[in-house]
Amino acid sequence: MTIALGGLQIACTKKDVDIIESAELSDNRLLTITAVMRRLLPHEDLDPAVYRDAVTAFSQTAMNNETAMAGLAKLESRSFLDLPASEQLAILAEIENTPFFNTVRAAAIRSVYGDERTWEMLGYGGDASRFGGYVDRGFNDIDWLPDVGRGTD
Amino acid sequence: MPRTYDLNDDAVVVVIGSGAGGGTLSNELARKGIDVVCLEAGPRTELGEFRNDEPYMNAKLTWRDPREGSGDASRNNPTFVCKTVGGTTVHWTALALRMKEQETRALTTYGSMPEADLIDWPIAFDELSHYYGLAEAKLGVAGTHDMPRFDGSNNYHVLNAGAMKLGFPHTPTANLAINSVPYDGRAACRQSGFCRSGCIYSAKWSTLYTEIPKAEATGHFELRPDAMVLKIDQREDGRVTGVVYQDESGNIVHQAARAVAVAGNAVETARLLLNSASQRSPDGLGNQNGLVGRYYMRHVFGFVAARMPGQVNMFKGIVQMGSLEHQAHHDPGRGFASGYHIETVSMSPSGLTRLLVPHEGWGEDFAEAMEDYRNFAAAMMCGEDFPEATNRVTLHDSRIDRYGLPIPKVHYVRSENSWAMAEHGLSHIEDIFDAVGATKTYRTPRTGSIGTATHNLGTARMASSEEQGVCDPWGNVYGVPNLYVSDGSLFPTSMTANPTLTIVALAIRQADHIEQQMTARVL
Repeated sequence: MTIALGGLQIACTKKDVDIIESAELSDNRLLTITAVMRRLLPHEDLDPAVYRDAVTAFSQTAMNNETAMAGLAKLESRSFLDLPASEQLAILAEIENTPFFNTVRAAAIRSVYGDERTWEMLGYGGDASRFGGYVDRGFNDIDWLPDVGRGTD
Repeated sequence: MPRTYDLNDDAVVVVIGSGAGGGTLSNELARKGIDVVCLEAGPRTELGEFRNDEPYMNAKLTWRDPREGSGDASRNNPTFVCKTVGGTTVHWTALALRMKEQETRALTTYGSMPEADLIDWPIAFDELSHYYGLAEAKLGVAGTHDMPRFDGSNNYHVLNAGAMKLGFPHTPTANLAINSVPYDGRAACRQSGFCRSGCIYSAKWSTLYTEIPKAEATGHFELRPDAMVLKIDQREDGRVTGVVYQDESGNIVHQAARAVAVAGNAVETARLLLNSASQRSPDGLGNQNGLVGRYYMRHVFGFVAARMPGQVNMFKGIVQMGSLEHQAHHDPGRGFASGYHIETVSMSPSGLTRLLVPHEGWGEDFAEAMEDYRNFAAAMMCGEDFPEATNRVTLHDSRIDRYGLPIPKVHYVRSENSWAMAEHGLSHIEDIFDAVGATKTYRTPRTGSIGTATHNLGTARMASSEEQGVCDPWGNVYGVPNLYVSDGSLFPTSMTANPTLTIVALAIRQADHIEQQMTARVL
């Protein structure tokens, strides 16, 4: 099963879902979570495995979360996966103040921005002890500030 | 070398807590030859266990026993403090700033205000200054004594240049309790940017690897980690005789004491006094006037992240490299009393999302802003918050924790003065970033709760009279001759500066006082 995510050039396939270790949730539900998370945090250049891991982490807690399950069932009842991008975005905008939405967004943010592959894309250094900190690695290398008379201390 | 004391040894001073207050007091007493047993609720972590990993270290350090917030405080997480040997000095970002003289005379300086119960500090400023000098030498503060200041980080340069562009003076990098050069057997800072996660180089002062091992080396000190104090025992004549704690195996243990000093951070300190009711003190120790737990203060915090036209890489280097003071004075013309510091602060991508979500929400705009992470600069304000009797720590009437103790409730409502200050500060920080080309700024929104407080102060304040405070000017609890409070709970007002240096200065001063009282056989 290949899911088209509108204008987003990110593959979201049955293969992705198979890697997700969740026997409890249906493929359709896992794909729905994947689609929602990709709509929430659409980084085109990000390794799809980052989203997959975010879905895995979320699905492990979502099973026992009534809000999450009810919210996903509602999206499924509207055939979220089959809708074009504009309609998916419209649905998310419609529910953006619901507890369900906040739960999914918080989980997506926690996983995606705590992931080293995302850090690499964003240019965040992560563990600086590997190379002994930034004392010789540009902690003070800014060169584009306007001259304000004295800014060299 | 470390020694051990008998549980019935009533010659020891029991210090509760091992952070800035308790760790310092312990070492200062021990080096005077006074025997100390320090009871710390958290575990002892070795330096080698630290990692440059915020979630991992937060999980390791955070005080997780339940607390309930109300008012403007977060309901489930009203406060953030640490539960570990070293307390919050393991996590702190090392701004070591002095209080200003006019701030010590809060009532005199600001006058009477509708939403503030102000008093002047009951300490002469000259005396406090003397102890600030000792505290700076102890910590090793860059910019004081012989410790050179740091070269500024990129994030600092953005803030300083923006302020200068607006016409404010150049400000050198801040007074930081971080080694710019090796000091006191500890290495110099490597600018790794993980100050909040426990400094792996021990370049940042923390009692964990300074005061605690030094106290152990005196032969007059025993640290007992994983020891949660449940109650302080008081006898009929008012003196305390020892404490009851739960050890790491869950055993209930009694330790006798000549004197007891409480330094559990403002919430736990107040809670312990309230939980220690006796026949003599039916409402809790030192609570004969109902003041324990009242006047709870924070600082007026607010954050701004700014998208700049070039790379900043704010994660590189010391988290709080700069502290601008040009708004830290009292100028009622701005529409509020007292003032605030403007401090650089860095954020990981996860940290940055907290400021972006309220503004960009989700979707393409959000993702696009995050992808500009390298170009973000960030700063925060830390302003003076005023004491109010109604902002207070109390005991929950039904919820108990795993120690069988009523959990603390933290009620906090931010005053109109503090709201006005927050609005001014956030707008001013935005102006600073705009002056050097910010394309967009993101500030802490005024919605919901005002977040989790890391600076918690004032719940057992010292005052020159028993009617106005829980403790006397030495931190001795009124009505209990051998009980002391030794942390930020003592602060009569919050001042604009970050609290740690003042906590350390007061602890050094208190140790001198306790020694004198012992020599005079009062204690």
